[in-house]
Amino acid sequence: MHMNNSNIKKSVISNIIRGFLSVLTKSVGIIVSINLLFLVNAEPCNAELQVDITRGVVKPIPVAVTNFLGSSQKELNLGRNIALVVKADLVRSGLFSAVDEKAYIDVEKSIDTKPIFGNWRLIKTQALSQGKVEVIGNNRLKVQFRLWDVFAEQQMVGQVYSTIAGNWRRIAHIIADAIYKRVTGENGYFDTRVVYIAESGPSNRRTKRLAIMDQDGENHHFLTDGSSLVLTPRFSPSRQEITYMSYHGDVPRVYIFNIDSGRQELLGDFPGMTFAPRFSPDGNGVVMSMAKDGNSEIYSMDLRNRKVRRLTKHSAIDTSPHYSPDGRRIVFNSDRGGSQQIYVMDADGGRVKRISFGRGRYATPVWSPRGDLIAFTKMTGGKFYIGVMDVDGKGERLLVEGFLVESPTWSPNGRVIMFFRETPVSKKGGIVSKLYSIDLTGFNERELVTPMDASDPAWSPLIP
Amino acid sequence: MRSSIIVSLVLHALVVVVGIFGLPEVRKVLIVKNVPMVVEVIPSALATNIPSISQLPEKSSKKKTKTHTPSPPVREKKIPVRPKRLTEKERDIVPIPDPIKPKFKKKNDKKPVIKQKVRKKLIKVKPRRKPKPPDRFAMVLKNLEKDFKRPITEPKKSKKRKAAKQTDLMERLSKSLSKRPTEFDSNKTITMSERNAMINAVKRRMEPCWNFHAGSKKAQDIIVELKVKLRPDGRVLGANIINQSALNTNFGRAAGESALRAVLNPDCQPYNLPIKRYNVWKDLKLTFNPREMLGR
Repeated sequence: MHMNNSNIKKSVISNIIRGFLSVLTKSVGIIVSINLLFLVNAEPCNAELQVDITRGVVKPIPVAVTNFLGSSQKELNLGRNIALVVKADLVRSGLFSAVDEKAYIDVEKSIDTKPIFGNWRLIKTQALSQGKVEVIGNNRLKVQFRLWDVFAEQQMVGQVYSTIAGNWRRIAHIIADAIYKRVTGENGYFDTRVVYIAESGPSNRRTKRLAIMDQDGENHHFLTDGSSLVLTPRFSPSRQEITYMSYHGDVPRVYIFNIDSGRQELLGDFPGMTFAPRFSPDGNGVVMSMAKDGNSEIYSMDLRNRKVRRLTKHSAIDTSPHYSPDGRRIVFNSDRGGSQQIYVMDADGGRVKRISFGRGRYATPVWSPRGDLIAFTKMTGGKFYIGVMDVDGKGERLLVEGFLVESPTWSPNGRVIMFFRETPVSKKGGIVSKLYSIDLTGFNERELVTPMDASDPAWSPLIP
Repeated sequence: MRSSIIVSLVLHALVVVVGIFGLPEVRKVLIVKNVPMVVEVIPSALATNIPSISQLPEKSSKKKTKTHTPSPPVREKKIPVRPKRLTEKERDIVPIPDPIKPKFKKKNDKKPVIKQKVRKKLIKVKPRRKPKPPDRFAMVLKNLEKDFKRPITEPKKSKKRKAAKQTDLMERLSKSLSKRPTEFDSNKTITMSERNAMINAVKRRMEPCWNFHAGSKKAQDIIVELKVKLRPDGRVLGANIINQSALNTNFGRAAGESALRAVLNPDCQPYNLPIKRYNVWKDLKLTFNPREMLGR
């Protein structure tokens, strides 16, 4: 009995333990599965709808540039003029469209209060520019402006400038640059100038003068009198200086011209003809071609000590050198491969590499100030083209085609290319030559109106 | 927070403890007495003969529940679900192939062959773009299939299983594992075509509104991700950039704002989405990727 009792006890205890453990195993299973459940739920699989937008549009952003406010008639006039210039700059870039002034519902009377965004949304405005002009004393201006994001209802930029009254146009360009930069992420290029060759007279006795103007064609004036032929003007990237080639005294030489002082200086006395000059990115050097004994090679010169260094040594013609924006490499033009193609080498002349392999001939390579592209002129099939390619020669895109399109020059932000186009107008050989600009994307080609025929444009850096 | 941490710690501790003690217990049961013999018999019956199961539980209900809890839910699901899946598939997917079928019917009884061809074509087309999307679609299909099972199986299960076994906790949990949270059940049982229709509706709205900066430096590398909250009427409640850190350059900021403008533009709203599926589209993740357009 005793044994039986103990057996029963044991079995009861063992049953209890077993039951307890079985409950435990169950609970473990439950816990594990709960944990797994949480893991499964953590997957964002169906948490939200994911949509990839892979197509969009490239169209101008509607911006409203209201007249700058003022308290006197003079201030109001200036305010209107500044707004007009800002608007014209933005619209000419092709990236903005101006909302028609007539559509404005209610223009704010102060720039110190938040605009009523609903009114601007109604007329499909995406960015709103407001400003105020104050004339201080006789000759000084204080100009304030704000840029608003109409959808986000936030201020994007707010700045104040003060200057002499005669500078109102520059202030307008600077404001346009600020708007452009804030909206596109790209530095502006409106506060810049363009130097070019102004041509006049019959085709056999063409007078060529160096001329300069703002990038919008305003403030035009001549720098040389036309007594000697001038070609290939190039802006210094750091100073208000121009280098160009002149046939002064019937000898082609490279000169440097200081815009502020009007001083012209011969850049060294070389044994051969020097041409196609370009500044180095720091403005302290020049790279150019020199033709001697029927062979053209590339040379660099340090402007501080006038030391000259030969960079290429080849029996073929090497010309049109241009520094990369970091100054480490030079893109140039050579027919060493049998036809005229684009090559890249180190700034000291080492590691020469051909990058263009397309049909036709390539000329005048120009490295973008942004560093990502090289613009060029291409001749093929009896036509001229202006195009861009990556710095390794890939991704070639032709932007402009014509009877003669040549001499591409980059805006300082590397976004717009200016060039000149010659169009035959008569059977006797009459030609019209004009300046044009085109966006890097190949859209928004616009003529830059000049008082006479124009060629060889060169875009300045932003005016300091 | 604290209580949840404590709870999870306790639960994890339990897992560890029972992991040590629980498993040997099962083995012990198997080893100790003749009981395991019964245990072994049951699964074989389950696998081969369903009606026989109904008789077994009466004999030794305790032991069965102990050992067989994991196996029944898996089997029971599989058996009834398979035919139901097919029927549901037909219902949902039929609308698309339907117009195709009559064209081929004229060519006599080559229906199966034609179906295969259609499928092959679809498979061929998808991978050309990207290898990943087809996988995603496959995932969605699988998930949908799982979802389809439940509403139909549940009533039938209740009839059959009342005789066999009542669903225990493990069974329910295993179901819920294959399920999504029950609150959203109705909204998540969407077909791929429904989902695609919603995606296309959003795309149609966005594409003419997204004004991207084609000329920006490395524009092809600037991808903007937005999280958008929508109201039931399809209008935007709010939007913010998710990958702000990747857009810390001037170009990036401009691209981000450009995408945001597209979303916030009142002319680009409302989205034409089915109100029934609001739970699915109330939160959108939009990825603005210009690479395809720039051809790089």
